[in-house]
Amino acid sequence: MTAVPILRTIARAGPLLALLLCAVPARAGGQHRFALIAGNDEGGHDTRPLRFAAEDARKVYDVLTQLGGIAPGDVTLMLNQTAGEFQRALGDFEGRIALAKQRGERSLFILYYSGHTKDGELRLGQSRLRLDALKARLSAVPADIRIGVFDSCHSGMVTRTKGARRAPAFEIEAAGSEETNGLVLLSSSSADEDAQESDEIGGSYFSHYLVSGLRGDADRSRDRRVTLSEAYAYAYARTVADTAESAAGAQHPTFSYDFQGNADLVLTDFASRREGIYVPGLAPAGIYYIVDGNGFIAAEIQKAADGDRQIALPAGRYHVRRRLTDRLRIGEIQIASGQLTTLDESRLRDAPFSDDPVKGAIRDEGTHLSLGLGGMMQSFFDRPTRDGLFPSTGMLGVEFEVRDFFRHGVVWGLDLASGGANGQVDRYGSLLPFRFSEVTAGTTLAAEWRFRFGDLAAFAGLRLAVVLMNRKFDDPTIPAQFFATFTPGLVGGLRYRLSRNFALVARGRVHYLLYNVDENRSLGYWELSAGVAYDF
Amino acid sequence: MISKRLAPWSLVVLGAIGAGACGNYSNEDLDFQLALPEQTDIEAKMQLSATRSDSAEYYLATRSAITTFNAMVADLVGLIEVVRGTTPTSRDGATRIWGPFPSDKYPAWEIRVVMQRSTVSSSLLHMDYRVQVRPAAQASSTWADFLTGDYTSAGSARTGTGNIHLLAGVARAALYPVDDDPGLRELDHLDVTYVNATYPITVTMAIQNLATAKAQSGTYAYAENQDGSGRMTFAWQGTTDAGLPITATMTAQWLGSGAGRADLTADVTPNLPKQTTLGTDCWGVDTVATYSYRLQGNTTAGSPTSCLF
Repeated sequence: MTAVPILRTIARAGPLLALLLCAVPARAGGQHRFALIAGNDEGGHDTRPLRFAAEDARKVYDVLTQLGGIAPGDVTLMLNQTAGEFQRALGDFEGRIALAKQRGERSLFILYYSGHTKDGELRLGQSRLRLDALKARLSAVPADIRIGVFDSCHSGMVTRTKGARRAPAFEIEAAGSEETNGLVLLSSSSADEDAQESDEIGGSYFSHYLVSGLRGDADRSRDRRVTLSEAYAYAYARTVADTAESAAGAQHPTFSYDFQGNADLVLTDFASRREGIYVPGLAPAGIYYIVDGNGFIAAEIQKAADGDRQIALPAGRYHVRRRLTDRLRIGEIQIASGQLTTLDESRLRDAPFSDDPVKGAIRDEGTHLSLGLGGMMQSFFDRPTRDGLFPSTGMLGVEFEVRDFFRHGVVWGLDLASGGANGQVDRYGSLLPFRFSEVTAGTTLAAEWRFRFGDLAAFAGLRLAVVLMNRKFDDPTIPAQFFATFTPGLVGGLRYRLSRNFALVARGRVHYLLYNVDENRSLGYWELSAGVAYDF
Repeated sequence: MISKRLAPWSLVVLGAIGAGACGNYSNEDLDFQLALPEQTDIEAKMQLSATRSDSAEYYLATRSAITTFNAMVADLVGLIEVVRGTTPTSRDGATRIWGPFPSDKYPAWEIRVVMQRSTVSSSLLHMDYRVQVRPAAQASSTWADFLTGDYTSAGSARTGTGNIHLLAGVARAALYPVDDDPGLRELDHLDVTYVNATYPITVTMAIQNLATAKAQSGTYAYAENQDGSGRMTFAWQGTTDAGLPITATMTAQWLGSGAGRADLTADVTPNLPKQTTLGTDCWGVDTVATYSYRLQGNTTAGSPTSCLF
């Protein structure tokens, strides 16, 4: 990404921003705000699942409830739900907003959707919702101000009928009026473009920059408030710049409105919320990436040489990264609850690019393969069983994983392990020593959650294995015995990334085994393993 | 409500898992296998040196008797060997059934082994078993016992007291072609009792032939000591060509080295008093007689002081 396109866009948008600044009221007070926020990763059989649509919705929910003046009771977050449920939630808001209007309250309603759009329809899993019907319904919501934000492929359709243009949207002129009333529509892409996601930022470009802007980086006026126009201009410029050289091509958000009013609309206000990061004016200019505990960019700060910057972020521990031409400047910052933490440049250190805390910056975390080797201990819970039937066994195993193929954070694995132990069985005083051996093969489907800047991940899932157990008695007159069966189980563990390609994996399994030779017996066993994985 | 909904699905899942399970991995099967005698458990053991042209006559007779005895043991054990070599065809509580299998010798017949475990005490294993036959084409016909046995452990699963009965007469009555086997043609039944929990290990075998047989009955009594020494008595009762009863007993004793002694006694013999010693041989480890006595001709060779027993 280069600064030139951003500056050019801002320069083009500048006069028009000023126009809009005078067109909508720049205050959040005295306005009852409502929001319906939906994210759905699934779009039906003819679409590929998205990785971050639901996550984007969560981020928008967080920023609006933290900084947008929306009470938790006035916002609904819908993740991976159907069109029917979505419409019922919308109907609920229509009723509540109508009541607010009866009480004489001015109201604002934000509808945010992140997911699939195809052939003029929102795809919510297997269900569909006509985009034009939704737009008509949104227009009819009895709120004074209705804002629709659509982050999906071809979402520019929603703004097309209002004459929205790709860039910048602010060329549209509005008739000024003291009464602020109307409809604003934002889309993440034009009608013939795909909306792109990024592994590096852990979300879609548009929603990421919208949220980052709302947290403060879009505050060009330095008044500790981010208006709709500021947020859009910021999201537009950064989205276009970041996607310009992508394989899918530049993505152009669109904007349209049918509005009456003469003041800008404040979407987030962090003047009173002193919890975040402050970058003093003396700090070096550049783009500061604030990386959350999952290894994704939580916010960005575009620091100019001549001014300070401030963004609002929830309390927590973050990595800070500033990219220079030959190295990184990285460090950590702890935001205390209710505190504005100043970023101290002296606490950053030089680091090679390989130490980039943003894992996606090092490598594409898309679908990739992993091969693991390790040792394992297996033991049955029931003592008589492990003493005389299936002894506790040490095993060596290999596991092949397909990571992030079905969706982000989902791991599918195939494993094979083999081992043996010595055991003996006591039958009426006769001790019969035997050599026990086992081969097990399984398949696992697990979800993975990343912590500590992506280095550490926890996973949990389901496993189905087939086990083949065999024992050969020292007494040659007793024939060898075997047992084979399927065993379902649960898997959980931790994965710690040592370097770009290597990771340590600790895993625990609990399995059910139906033993049915002498009689039906429900048995359980556990497995603990540790090993090294190589990510291709 | 949830549990009621899940219950059918749980059964389906468990059923699927169970249907996919297979194998013979069983501790209880071991009990059935351990309860059956192995050939080495009940065969006679004697240090057998190479025979020579001048080996003692009664040594050769003893050796021949042991060979015959062990051959009969091998045949008996062979009838129940299927239990140890294959997985039970069915398991039902304390019962295991192997078969039915087609008879190797007589394909028109099928054979099965049924074993039943009884609870004597928590430390004692008791088993009853039967080898049964029936015509293969008559699946509804009753099974006829060809061999029965029982076993009670003592001290460990594979040491105890057992009995084996080969019921040739019963099988013959069921039309099982036992007479096709020359070794069974004159046999009515054969009973074996063994005790191998403590020394001396003893095995007795009683043979009851048909009344028409020349030798009506015979017994073998074998005892084995821990130091390898042993004793076998084999006795036969029959009739002479003239129809007169005749019974004789040979008692052989030996050390672990193989050196030993045998005495032939005429219990009932025409023209002789009862309990008449017909002869005695003592031999060394080289099987050559160190002392020999024969009633017939009243011959003696060597010194009786050389006899170990």
